[in-house]
Amino acid sequence: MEAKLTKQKPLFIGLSCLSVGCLIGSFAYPLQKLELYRQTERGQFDTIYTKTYLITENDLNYPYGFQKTKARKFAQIHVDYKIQKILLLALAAGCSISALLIGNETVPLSELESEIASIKAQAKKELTLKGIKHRFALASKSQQLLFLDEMKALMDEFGSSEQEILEADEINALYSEAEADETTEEAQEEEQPEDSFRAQFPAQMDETAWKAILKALTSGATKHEIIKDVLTCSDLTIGGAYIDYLKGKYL
Amino acid sequence: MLRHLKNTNELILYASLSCGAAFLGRILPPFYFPILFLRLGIFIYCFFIIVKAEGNTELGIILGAAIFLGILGGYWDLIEIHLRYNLAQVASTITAVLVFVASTLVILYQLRGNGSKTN
Repeated sequence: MEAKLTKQKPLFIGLSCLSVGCLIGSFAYPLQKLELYRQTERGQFDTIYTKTYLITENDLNYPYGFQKTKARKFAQIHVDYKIQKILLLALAAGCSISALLIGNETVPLSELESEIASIKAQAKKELTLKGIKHRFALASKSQQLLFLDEMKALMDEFGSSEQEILEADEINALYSEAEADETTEEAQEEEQPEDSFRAQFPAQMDETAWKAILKALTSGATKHEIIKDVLTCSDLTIGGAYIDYLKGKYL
Repeated sequence: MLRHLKNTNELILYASLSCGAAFLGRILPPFYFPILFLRLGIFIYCFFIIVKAEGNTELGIILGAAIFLGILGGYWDLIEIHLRYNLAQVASTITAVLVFVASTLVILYQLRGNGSKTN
Protein backbone atom coordinates (compact mmCIF):
# COMPACT_ATOMS: atom_id res chain seq x y z
CA MET A 1 0.00 0.00 0.00
CA GLU A 2 2.84 2.38 0.76
CA ALA A 3 4.43 1.74 -2.62
CA LYS A 4 1.13 2.59 -4.31
CA LEU A 5 0.97 5.76 -2.23
CA THR A 6 4.47 6.88 -3.18
CA LYS A 7 3.67 6.28 -6.86
CA GLN A 8 0.29 7.95 -6.88
CA LYS A 9 1.02 11.06 -4.83
CA PRO A 10 3.19 12.88 -7.43
CA LEU A 11 0.76 11.76 -10.16
CA PHE A 12 -2.12 13.26 -8.22
CA ILE A 13 -0.29 16.54 -7.65
CA GLY A 14 0.84 16.67 -11.28
CA LEU A 15 -2.66 16.09 -12.64
CA SER A 16 -4.11 18.78 -10.37
CA CYS A 17 -1.54 21.36 -11.48
CA LEU A 18 -2.06 20.41 -15.14
CA SER A 19 -5.81 20.86 -14.87
CA VAL A 20 -5.38 24.32 -13.28
CA GLY A 21 -2.92 25.33 -16.00
CA CYS A 22 -5.16 24.09 -18.80
CA LEU A 23 -8.19 25.96 -17.46
CA ILE A 24 -6.33 29.26 -17.12
CA GLY A 25 -4.71 28.69 -20.50
CA SER A 26 -8.13 28.37 -22.11
CA PHE A 27 -9.00 31.90 -21.01
CA ALA A 28 -6.40 33.51 -23.25
CA TYR A 29 -6.62 34.30 -26.97
CA PRO A 30 -9.80 35.31 -28.76
CA LEU A 31 -12.58 32.81 -29.25
CA GLN A 32 -14.20 34.18 -32.41
CA LYS A 33 -13.52 36.45 -35.37
CA LEU A 34 -14.87 39.94 -34.89
CA GLU A 35 -14.83 43.45 -36.31
CA LEU A 36 -14.84 46.81 -34.54
CA TYR A 37 -16.59 49.82 -36.10
CA ARG A 38 -16.68 53.48 -35.09
CA GLN A 39 -19.66 55.63 -36.02
CA THR A 40 -20.07 59.34 -35.40
CA GLU A 41 -23.54 60.36 -34.29
CA ARG A 42 -25.28 63.61 -33.62
CA GLY A 43 -26.99 63.89 -30.27
CA GLN A 44 -29.99 65.89 -29.00
CA PHE A 45 -28.30 69.25 -28.45
CA ASP A 46 -26.07 69.12 -31.56
CA THR A 47 -23.41 67.21 -29.67
CA ILE A 48 -21.21 64.89 -31.67
CA TYR A 49 -20.00 61.63 -30.19
CA THR A 50 -18.56 58.40 -31.55
CA LYS A 51 -20.11 55.05 -30.80
CA THR A 52 -18.14 51.78 -30.97
CA TYR A 53 -19.78 48.65 -32.34
CA LEU A 54 -18.46 45.14 -31.93
CA ILE A 55 -19.74 42.66 -34.49
CA THR A 56 -18.74 39.01 -34.13
CA GLU A 57 -18.96 36.34 -36.80
CA ASN A 58 -21.73 34.57 -34.88
CA ASP A 59 -24.04 37.58 -34.50
CA LEU A 60 -27.43 36.96 -36.05
CA ASN A 61 -27.95 40.61 -36.96
CA TYR A 62 -26.26 44.01 -36.91
CA PRO A 63 -26.54 45.82 -33.59
CA TYR A 64 -29.23 48.46 -33.12
CA GLY A 65 -28.25 51.87 -34.48
CA PHE A 66 -25.53 50.50 -36.73
CA GLN A 67 -25.44 52.02 -40.22
CA LYS A 68 -23.12 50.24 -42.60
CA THR A 69 -22.66 53.37 -44.77
CA LYS A 70 -21.67 55.66 -41.89
CA ALA A 71 -19.59 53.23 -39.78
CA ARG A 72 -15.87 52.86 -40.31
CA LYS A 73 -14.04 49.65 -39.41
CA PHE A 74 -10.94 50.35 -37.38
CA ALA A 75 -9.99 46.95 -35.89
CA GLN A 76 -10.50 43.31 -36.71
CA ILE A 77 -9.61 39.92 -35.27
CA HIS A 78 -9.22 37.55 -38.16
CA VAL A 79 -7.64 34.56 -36.41
CA ASP A 80 -9.59 32.76 -33.77
CA TYR A 81 -8.60 29.93 -31.45
CA LYS A 82 -11.90 28.13 -30.97
CA ILE A 83 -10.63 24.60 -31.32
CA GLN A 84 -7.58 25.15 -29.13
CA LYS A 85 -9.56 26.73 -26.30
CA ILE A 86 -12.25 24.05 -26.30
CA LEU A 87 -9.59 21.33 -26.36
CA LEU A 88 -7.80 22.93 -23.41
CA LEU A 89 -11.08 23.08 -21.50
CA ALA A 90 -11.74 19.40 -22.22
CA LEU A 91 -8.20 18.54 -21.12
CA ALA A 92 -8.64 20.46 -17.88
CA ALA A 93 -11.90 18.63 -17.16
CA GLY A 94 -10.33 15.24 -17.96
CA CYS A 95 -7.27 15.84 -15.80
CA SER A 96 -9.37 16.97 -12.84
CA ILE A 97 -11.68 13.93 -13.16
CA SER A 98 -8.74 11.50 -13.21
CA ALA A 99 -7.06 13.36 -10.34
CA LEU A 100 -10.25 13.08 -8.30
CA LEU A 101 -10.50 9.36 -9.01
CA ILE A 102 -6.90 8.85 -7.88
CA GLY A 103 -7.31 11.21 -4.94
CA ASN A 104 -10.21 9.24 -3.49
CA GLU A 105 -7.75 6.49 -2.63
CA THR A 106 -4.59 8.50 -2.05
CA VAL A 107 -5.72 11.38 0.14
CA PRO A 108 -7.14 9.43 3.11
CA LEU A 109 -4.11 7.11 3.16
CA SER A 110 -1.52 9.85 3.07
CA GLU A 111 -3.18 11.84 5.77
CA LEU A 112 -3.66 8.78 7.96
CA GLU A 113 -0.55 9.47 10.03
CA SER A 114 -1.44 13.08 10.67
CA GLU A 115 -4.97 12.02 11.68
CA ILE A 116 -3.56 9.48 14.14
CA ALA A 117 -1.21 12.10 15.60
CA SER A 118 -4.03 14.59 16.06
CA ILE A 119 -6.22 11.97 17.78
CA LYS A 120 -3.32 11.10 20.12
CA ALA A 121 -2.80 14.76 21.02
CA GLN A 122 -6.50 15.22 21.74
CA ALA A 123 -6.55 12.11 23.93
CA LYS A 124 -3.56 13.42 25.87
CA LYS A 125 -5.32 16.73 26.51
CA GLU A 126 -8.46 14.97 27.72
CA LEU A 127 -6.41 12.77 30.03
CA THR A 128 -4.69 15.73 31.72
CA LEU A 129 -8.06 17.45 32.13
CA LYS A 130 -9.57 14.35 33.75
CA GLY A 131 -6.53 14.09 36.05
CA ILE A 132 -7.02 17.68 37.24
CA LYS A 133 -10.74 17.10 37.86
CA HIS A 134 -9.98 13.93 39.82
CA ARG A 135 -7.45 15.73 42.02
CA PHE A 136 -9.91 18.55 42.78
CA ALA A 137 -12.62 16.05 43.67
CA LEU A 138 -10.27 14.23 46.03
CA ALA A 139 -9.26 17.50 47.70
CA SER A 140 -12.87 18.58 48.30
CA LYS A 141 -13.84 15.17 49.66
CA SER A 142 -10.90 15.11 52.05
CA GLN A 143 -11.85 18.60 53.24
CA GLN A 144 -15.39 17.41 53.95
CA LEU A 145 -14.09 14.46 55.99
CA LEU A 146 -11.75 16.71 58.00
CA PHE A 147 -14.67 19.02 58.79
CA LEU A 148 -16.82 16.09 59.94
CA ASP A 149 -14.03 14.85 62.22
CA GLU A 150 -13.69 18.30 63.80
CA MET A 151 -17.46 18.55 64.21
CA LYS A 152 -17.56 15.20 65.97
CA ALA A 153 -14.86 16.34 68.37
CA LEU A 154 -16.78 19.55 69.17
CA MET A 155 -20.03 17.64 69.77
CA ASP A 156 -18.30 15.28 72.16
CA GLU A 157 -16.82 18.23 74.04
CA PHE A 158 -19.88 20.48 74.35
CA GLY A 159 -22.69 17.94 74.06
CA SER A 160 -25.74 18.18 71.89
CA SER A 161 -28.47 20.79 72.46
CA GLU A 162 -31.39 18.38 72.15
CA GLN A 163 -32.16 18.46 75.87
CA GLU A 164 -32.39 22.25 75.88
CA ILE A 165 -34.67 22.21 72.83
CA LEU A 166 -37.05 19.74 74.55
CA GLU A 167 -37.26 21.92 77.68
CA ALA A 168 -37.93 25.02 75.54
CA ASP A 169 -40.71 23.18 73.70
CA GLU A 170 -42.41 22.20 76.96
CA ILE A 171 -42.36 25.76 78.29
CA ASN A 172 -43.74 27.03 74.95
CA ALA A 173 -46.54 24.48 75.10
CA LEU A 174 -47.46 25.52 78.68
CA TYR A 175 -47.65 29.18 77.70
CA SER A 176 -49.73 28.51 74.61
CA GLU A 177 -52.21 26.47 76.69
CA ALA A 178 -52.62 29.30 79.18
CA GLU A 179 -53.33 31.78 76.36
CA ALA A 180 -55.87 29.48 74.75
CA ASP A 181 -57.76 29.15 78.08
CA GLU A 182 -57.94 32.93 78.43
CA THR A 183 -59.27 33.45 74.91
CA THR A 184 -61.93 30.76 75.28
CA GLU A 185 -63.13 32.43 78.53
CA GLU A 186 -63.34 35.80 76.78
CA ALA A 187 -65.19 34.25 73.89
CA GLN A 188 -67.71 32.65 76.25
CA GLU A 189 -68.33 36.00 78.00
CA GLU A 190 -68.95 37.74 74.71
CA GLU A 191 -71.25 35.11 73.37
CA GLN A 192 -74.02 35.64 75.99
CA PRO A 193 -75.33 39.09 74.94
CA GLU A 194 -74.92 38.18 71.28
CA ASP A 195 -77.53 35.41 71.42
CA SER A 196 -80.27 37.86 70.61
CA PHE A 197 -79.21 38.40 66.97
CA ARG A 198 -76.94 35.39 66.46
CA ALA A 199 -79.91 33.24 65.51
CA GLN A 200 -80.59 35.46 62.52
CA PHE A 201 -77.06 36.63 61.76
CA PRO A 202 -74.45 33.88 62.16
CA ALA A 203 -70.78 34.74 62.80
CA GLN A 204 -69.72 33.76 59.27
CA MET A 205 -71.58 36.64 57.67
CA ASP A 206 -70.09 39.30 59.98
CA GLU A 207 -67.47 40.45 57.45
CA THR A 208 -69.71 40.53 54.39
CA ALA A 209 -72.48 42.24 56.32
CA TRP A 210 -70.03 44.86 57.63
CA LYS A 211 -68.78 45.60 54.07
CA ALA A 212 -72.33 46.05 52.82
CA ILE A 213 -73.18 48.29 55.80
CA LEU A 214 -70.07 50.41 55.18
CA LYS A 215 -71.04 50.84 51.54
CA ALA A 216 -74.54 51.91 52.50
CA LEU A 217 -73.20 54.31 55.15
CA THR A 218 -70.85 55.99 52.64
CA SER A 219 -73.75 56.39 50.19
CA GLY A 220 -75.63 58.17 52.98
CA ALA A 221 -78.27 55.68 54.18
CA THR A 222 -79.85 55.91 57.65
CA LYS A 223 -79.80 53.14 60.23
CA HIS A 224 -83.45 52.35 59.59
CA GLU A 225 -82.80 52.00 55.83
CA ILE A 226 -79.73 49.80 56.45
CA ILE A 227 -81.72 47.43 58.67
CA LYS A 228 -84.55 47.25 56.13
CA ASP A 229 -82.56 47.05 52.85
CA VAL A 230 -79.10 45.65 53.65
CA LEU A 231 -79.88 43.29 56.56
CA THR A 232 -83.52 42.69 55.45
CA CYS A 233 -84.53 42.35 59.08
CA SER A 234 -88.05 43.09 60.20
CA ASP A 235 -87.15 43.50 63.88
CA LEU A 236 -85.43 46.87 64.37
CA THR A 237 -83.99 46.07 67.82
CA ILE A 238 -82.21 42.93 66.65
CA GLY A 239 -80.88 44.71 63.53
CA GLY A 240 -79.73 47.71 65.61
CA ALA A 241 -77.99 45.46 68.14
CA TYR A 242 -76.20 43.65 65.29
CA ILE A 243 -75.04 46.91 63.74
CA ASP A 244 -73.77 48.15 67.10
CA TYR A 245 -71.93 44.85 67.65
CA LEU A 246 -70.27 45.09 64.23
CA LYS A 247 -69.29 48.70 64.86
CA GLY A 248 -67.68 47.68 68.13
CA LYS A 249 -65.89 44.82 66.43
CA TYR A 250 -64.48 46.59 63.35
CA LEU A 251 -64.11 50.21 64.34
CA MET B 1 -2.43 19.76 1.78
CA LEU B 2 -3.64 16.97 -0.48
CA ARG B 3 -7.17 17.63 0.73
CA HIS B 4 -6.91 21.17 -0.63
CA LEU B 5 -5.73 19.85 -3.96
CA LYS B 6 -8.77 17.59 -4.02
CA ASN B 7 -11.01 20.63 -3.48
CA THR B 8 -9.14 22.46 -6.22
CA ASN B 9 -9.79 19.60 -8.63
CA GLU B 10 -13.50 19.76 -7.94
CA LEU B 11 -13.44 23.49 -8.50
CA ILE B 12 -11.57 23.13 -11.80
CA LEU B 13 -14.01 20.51 -13.03
CA TYR B 14 -17.09 22.65 -12.37
CA ALA B 15 -15.34 25.78 -13.63
CA SER B 16 -14.41 24.12 -16.93
CA LEU B 17 -18.04 23.08 -17.40
CA SER B 18 -19.18 26.63 -16.69
CA CYS B 19 -16.54 28.08 -19.06
CA GLY B 20 -17.64 25.67 -21.79
CA ALA B 21 -21.22 26.84 -21.31
CA ALA B 22 -20.05 30.47 -21.69
CA PHE B 23 -18.21 29.62 -24.93
CA LEU B 24 -21.34 27.88 -26.18
CA GLY B 25 -23.41 30.97 -25.38
CA ARG B 26 -21.02 33.13 -27.39
CA ILE B 27 -20.64 30.84 -30.40
CA LEU B 28 -24.35 30.05 -30.63
CA PRO B 29 -26.25 33.21 -29.67
CA PRO B 30 -29.65 31.48 -29.33
CA PHE B 31 -28.21 29.65 -26.31
CA TYR B 32 -27.06 32.84 -24.60
CA PHE B 33 -30.13 33.59 -22.46
CA PRO B 34 -30.98 29.97 -21.50
CA ILE B 35 -27.41 29.46 -20.31
CA LEU B 36 -27.50 32.77 -18.43
CA PHE B 37 -30.71 31.86 -16.58
CA LEU B 38 -29.48 28.35 -15.85
CA ARG B 39 -26.31 29.81 -14.39
CA LEU B 40 -28.26 32.30 -12.26
CA GLY B 41 -30.59 29.52 -11.11
CA ILE B 42 -27.71 27.30 -10.05
CA PHE B 43 -26.10 30.23 -8.23
CA ILE B 44 -29.28 31.05 -6.29
CA TYR B 45 -29.93 27.35 -5.53
CA CYS B 46 -26.34 27.04 -4.43
CA PHE B 47 -26.61 29.90 -1.95
CA PHE B 48 -30.05 29.42 -0.49
CA ILE B 49 -30.48 25.67 -0.43
CA ILE B 50 -27.00 24.19 -0.26
CA VAL B 51 -25.41 26.76 2.02
CA LYS B 52 -28.34 27.99 4.13
CA ALA B 53 -30.77 25.06 4.27
CA GLU B 54 -28.43 22.08 4.07
CA GLY B 55 -25.49 23.79 5.74
CA ASN B 56 -22.97 22.35 3.31
CA THR B 57 -20.84 25.50 2.98
CA GLU B 58 -17.93 23.67 1.39
CA LEU B 59 -19.88 22.48 -1.64
CA GLY B 60 -21.71 25.81 -1.86
CA ILE B 61 -18.51 27.80 -1.98
CA ILE B 62 -16.94 25.46 -4.54
CA LEU B 63 -19.99 25.66 -6.82
CA GLY B 64 -20.32 29.44 -6.48
CA ALA B 65 -16.62 30.02 -7.12
CA ALA B 66 -16.73 27.64 -10.09
CA ILE B 67 -19.64 29.51 -11.67
CA PHE B 68 -17.85 32.82 -11.13
CA LEU B 69 -14.61 31.48 -12.64
CA GLY B 70 -16.55 30.15 -15.60
CA ILE B 71 -18.14 33.53 -16.31
CA LEU B 72 -14.83 35.28 -15.91
CA GLY B 73 -12.92 32.91 -18.16
CA GLY B 74 -15.64 32.52 -20.73
CA TYR B 75 -15.74 36.26 -21.45
CA TRP B 76 -12.11 37.11 -20.67
CA ASP B 77 -11.01 37.83 -24.25
CA LEU B 78 -14.17 39.84 -24.92
CA ILE B 79 -13.54 41.90 -21.77
CA GLU B 80 -9.99 42.52 -22.97
CA ILE B 81 -11.20 43.83 -26.33
CA HIS B 82 -13.85 46.05 -24.74
CA LEU B 83 -11.33 47.50 -22.29
CA ARG B 84 -8.90 48.20 -25.10
CA TYR B 85 -11.25 49.74 -27.66
CA ASN B 86 -14.41 50.74 -25.81
CA LEU B 87 -13.20 51.87 -22.40
CA ALA B 88 -15.54 54.88 -22.09
CA GLN B 89 -18.71 52.83 -22.37
CA VAL B 90 -17.36 50.12 -20.04
CA ALA B 91 -16.47 52.72 -17.39
CA SER B 92 -19.85 54.44 -17.63
CA THR B 93 -21.71 51.10 -17.39
CA ILE B 94 -19.71 50.02 -14.34
CA THR B 95 -20.30 53.39 -12.65
CA ALA B 96 -24.04 53.24 -13.32
CA VAL B 97 -24.28 49.69 -11.96
CA LEU B 98 -22.28 50.58 -8.84
CA VAL B 99 -24.41 53.65 -8.16
CA PHE B 100 -27.60 51.62 -8.58
CA VAL B 101 -26.40 48.84 -6.28
CA ALA B 102 -25.17 51.31 -3.65
CA SER B 103 -28.44 53.26 -3.64
CA THR B 104 -30.47 50.04 -3.38
CA LEU B 105 -28.37 48.89 -0.42
CA VAL B 106 -28.70 52.26 1.29
CA ILE B 107 -32.47 52.26 0.82
CA LEU B 108 -32.76 48.70 2.13
CA TYR B 109 -30.58 49.56 5.10
CA GLN B 110 -32.72 52.57 5.94
CA LEU B 111 -35.92 50.55 5.59
CA ARG B 112 -34.61 47.89 7.94
CA GLY B 113 -34.00 50.60 10.52
CA ASN B 114 -30.22 50.94 10.72
CA GLY B 115 -29.58 47.41 11.89
CA SER B 116 -30.76 46.80 15.45
CA LYS B 117 -31.23 50.19 16.96
CA THR B 118 -32.43 50.26 20.55
CA ASN B 119 -34.14 53.43 21.77
